[in-house]
Amino acid sequence: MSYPTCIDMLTTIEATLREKVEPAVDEIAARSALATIYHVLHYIRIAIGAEGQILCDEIAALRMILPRLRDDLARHGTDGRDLALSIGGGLEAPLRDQHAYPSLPELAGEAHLLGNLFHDALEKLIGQEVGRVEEADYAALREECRGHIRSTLVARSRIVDAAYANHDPRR
Amino acid sequence: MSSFTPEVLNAYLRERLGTGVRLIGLERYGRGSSRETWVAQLREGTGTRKIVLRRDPPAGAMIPTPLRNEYLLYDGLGQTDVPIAKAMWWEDGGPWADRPFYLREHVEGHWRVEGLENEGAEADVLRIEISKQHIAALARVHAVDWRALRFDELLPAPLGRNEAAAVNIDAIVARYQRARIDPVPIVLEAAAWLKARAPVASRISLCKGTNGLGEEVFRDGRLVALSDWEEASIGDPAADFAFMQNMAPRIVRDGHTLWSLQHALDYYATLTGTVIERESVRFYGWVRALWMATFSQTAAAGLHRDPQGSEIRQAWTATEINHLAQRILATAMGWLPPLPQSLFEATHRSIEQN
Repeated sequence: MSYPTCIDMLTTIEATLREKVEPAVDEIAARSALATIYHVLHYIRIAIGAEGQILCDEIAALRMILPRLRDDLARHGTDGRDLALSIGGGLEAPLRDQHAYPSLPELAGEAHLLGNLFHDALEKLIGQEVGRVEEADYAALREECRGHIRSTLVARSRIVDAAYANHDPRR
Repeated sequence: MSSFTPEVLNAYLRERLGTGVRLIGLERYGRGSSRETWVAQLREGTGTRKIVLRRDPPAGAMIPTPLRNEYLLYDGLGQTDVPIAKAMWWEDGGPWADRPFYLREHVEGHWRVEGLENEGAEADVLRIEISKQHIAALARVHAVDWRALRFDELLPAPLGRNEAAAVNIDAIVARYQRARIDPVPIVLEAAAWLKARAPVASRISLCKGTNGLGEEVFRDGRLVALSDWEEASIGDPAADFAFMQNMAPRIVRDGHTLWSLQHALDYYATLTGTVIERESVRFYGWVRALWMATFSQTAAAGLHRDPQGSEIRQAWTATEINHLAQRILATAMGWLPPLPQSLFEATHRSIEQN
């Protein structure tokens, strides 16, 4: 079934709530919930279209930076070696069928797992700042991490900014 | 109220307050989203009164601080000159409910102030008066002897003014790490960045945390109670000026600045003798973004684990508020340009203001 799409149906849900349900609701808590529902429905409509590519890009970027973090952790200090091994395992593990079209939950799961490894590696790296602040390699890797975080935030802005561009009451 | 039905609540209140009491009305307060707030109307003899019941939603609170801490703050502050609803008692749940709750007295009033949003010079006078009342109430909060009330057993307390910011930031990051369901690495970067440029606190005070329109109770143009203590902390009082929600408005009329954040800080200094620098307020605005990122994670985690039992506002918090918090931190660190102020103002608007 091609049509109607999920986005079509979400639009219909919102219109039905506005035109048929909201006029019948007096209680303030219920009307407030409807106000929030409209925004969340809009978010979902935007996310359905954009989130898949954003997650694919995020996963690709993590797969590029994580090997460098793994190698740096393995070289500096004994407490980073376990995490370096975890990163190696995470990068090598087959997380999904590479020949099948990925679902959003599958992509989210992979981005989540790799993102957690990045998060934990960054935490270790920040903890090393006092002893390594003069190292060029350390500074470059920190800057690369910042660049990754910034790019991820900009990418996700494409969903959130569009979804909440309407300044109607949020609740 | 799921398992705590009006019938059960009625029986409970009669047990606690006596058989002369009868529950005649029960309404959920719609404005707040972090915890459940219910207002119960009781008939006692020939009169009526209201009490407030507070508890976490079934999926857990959006605020990652214990409900019992909130109750103990109300209980302790009820012994001071801070305008606040008096705490009544705490219940672990026991035979009456499936989760803990507490009760407090109801203070008659409203979060809105009539005429405050009007145009014109008369409304300017009102806005300045309300701002001064709010600052005076905060001055009382900051003067509270938190050690005598043992609030340092509830909240992390810095040993000195130099470490106020670091203790605050570390406490937030610790809550973030416990609460998080998704990695938010900018929290780690921002925490390190903030600690590296932390101001020295002017004093160590109990701070309310969430302030301003929507958080306090007004009646007949007077502030009668400070409400919403979920984000209370012990530290730099500048933190309270960082999140005031229109309680320190910039008012310009005929080319003259009648009121502003600096005016508010100057007024505070006349009341307390404590000077708070605007740069410190700006700093704690960034620290609050760390807190926003943290409670966004609590919201997200609760919704992911129990979507059926979650509130729709958790979905909004986990998306827009989560993202805005990160954008604030990115802007603070010079990574991204600032978002328009109108976007942040929109997040505070409710249907009651329409």
